[in-house]
Amino acid sequence: MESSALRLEVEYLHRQMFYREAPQVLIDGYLRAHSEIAELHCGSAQELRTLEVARTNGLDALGIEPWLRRPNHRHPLTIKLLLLSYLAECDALHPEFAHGWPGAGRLFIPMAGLGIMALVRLVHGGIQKARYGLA
Amino acid sequence: MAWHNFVIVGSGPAGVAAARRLEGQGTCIVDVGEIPDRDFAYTSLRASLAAGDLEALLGPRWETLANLVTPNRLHAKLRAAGLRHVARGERFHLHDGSGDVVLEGAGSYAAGGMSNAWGAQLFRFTEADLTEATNWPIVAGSLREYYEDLEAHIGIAGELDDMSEFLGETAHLLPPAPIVSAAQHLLAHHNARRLAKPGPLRLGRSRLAVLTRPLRGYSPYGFGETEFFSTNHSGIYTAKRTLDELRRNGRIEYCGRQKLVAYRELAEHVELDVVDCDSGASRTIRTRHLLLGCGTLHTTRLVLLNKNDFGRPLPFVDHPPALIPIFIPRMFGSALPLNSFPVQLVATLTGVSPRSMISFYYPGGLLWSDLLPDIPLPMDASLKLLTYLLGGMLVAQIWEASRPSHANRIQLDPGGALRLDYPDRGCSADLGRLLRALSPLGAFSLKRLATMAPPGWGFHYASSLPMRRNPGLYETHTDGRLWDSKRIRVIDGSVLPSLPAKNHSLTLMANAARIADEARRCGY
Repeated sequence: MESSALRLEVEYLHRQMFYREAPQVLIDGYLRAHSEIAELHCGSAQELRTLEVARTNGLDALGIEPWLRRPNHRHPLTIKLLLLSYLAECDALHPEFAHGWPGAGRLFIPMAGLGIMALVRLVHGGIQKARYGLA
Repeated sequence: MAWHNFVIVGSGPAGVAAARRLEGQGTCIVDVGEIPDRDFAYTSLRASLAAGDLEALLGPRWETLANLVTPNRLHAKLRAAGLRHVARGERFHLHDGSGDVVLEGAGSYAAGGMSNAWGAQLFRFTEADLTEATNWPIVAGSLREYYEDLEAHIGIAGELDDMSEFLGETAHLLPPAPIVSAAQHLLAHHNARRLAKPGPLRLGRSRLAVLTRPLRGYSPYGFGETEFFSTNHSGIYTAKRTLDELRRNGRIEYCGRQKLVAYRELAEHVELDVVDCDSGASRTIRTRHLLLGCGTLHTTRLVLLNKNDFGRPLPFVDHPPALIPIFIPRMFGSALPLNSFPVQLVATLTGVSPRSMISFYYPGGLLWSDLLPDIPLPMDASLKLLTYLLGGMLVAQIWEASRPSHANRIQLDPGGALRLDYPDRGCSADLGRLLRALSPLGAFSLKRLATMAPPGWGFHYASSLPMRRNPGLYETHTDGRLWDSKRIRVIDGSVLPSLPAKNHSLTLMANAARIADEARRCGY
């Protein structure tokens, strides 16, 4: 996969996961990982098509991804999102991973809100997966 | 030709425990002695994350991402660049009941052996443990003086509490290691409840080889959550600390980067063929007594190779645990600790035999990304959820007693490689009882969230050359000698006939020290 395509891929996945543009250090890490870990380019034709279709149509990658999980096999979309997550966790530019929490007081409302949003995203992803024939 | 009274092979827990009993008596340790390729430069995980040091965290060759494409390819304790040296020994394949390979691993050639990656829980076995495990030809009392000596040497943090009866007596406990809020909550509720309404659960502090105050010139541990990235913690005991002390004192000879490839027992001595790992040059060493302590896998391989016995199955025992997340809703959203240690508490359930041991872990030392694939939600939601959940979450590992079975075997294939078959494993029968016992304490989970670690994952390998009063073929005498030998003894986990639920590390050290004394006193 060419680096220009990988750059588009990481920018898309980062927007999906963190709702903002990817920092350059993360893009560089993503490209370097792909040049050094051969397995990141593996996947069946169907799986690689899913990645391509999701990116080119701007689909909800995070909503689709849980539907693609299998017990003993990781889908390339899961692998790429996880790679992105590891890079973001370690670049000190993503406060989402701050290993500390100031204490949230009453948690019912934020956790319930989170659950509802996750559910909506899951349903949305499931619909897109079926509509575009992703696997 | 070099001559020694005693040659010990391997510098893991068994090797150094034996070497302490034989120092200053013409003793040599023959050891490959792998050391870390790189240091982890940070004293805390938090500091490394704040620095954005991608290379330190993920490794120069992405070592920490070993399980990115294939889950569970490598144990989390062996992934990071600073820990890869621990398991660079002889490779093995472990097959399940269907013949599929469920684990590809390697034994350890590291200086300090597998203790570089251990959880640091060190327990004595009691008479009840040995009775439950079955087939032990020695009594726990015969290890008592060795337990006491090792505990004083290592420094064990813990407390005399509800678990004391299960964990057994001990001397010289250091103050217990700090525990996270969720564990504090669990323990406080248990202690408040057990007097008024005693249930089947016993719960208390673990016994950890972690310094909580200075000991013999070593500083206390900083609890920086770096255990998954480095093995170089001055406050956590590993066998390498003892090895370094023995070398510094000059009371033993250390032959590092040397690998034993064959041995021959003659009337007055044993001849060892040793290869230099760097130059490939071989040489011969003579010794009055040979003590094999290079770990169950390597020792078994050496013994079988020496007999040219390919395809002969020997018994093999591991402790594959069941894992289950435990949620304590009252603690959700509580502040995450700045410092912590993976092992928080230990527990057992009364009224069943054999008893299991439950260790409660706090997963704060892992990267959060490690946990995301286990949460069945979109990853952004999982990430947010973790910030709420982690303060009220522990992971329980359930260890069961493990006995040899006819089906679980270790053998050499025709090419000399190790093949392990482990179709017959425990089913964690105590899981339901544990969840019922935890719910009155405000801690909950679902059985369906439990996962069974694959066989081989416990790294508590044993029983391939078991001790017997009257040993048969491929068994050992209670003084460690191989069934047909006068001068060759086995001192590592291979000789333990079965495993109680507790971690066997301290016991294999005590037993190695006992066998070393037998060799010293044998009169020839």
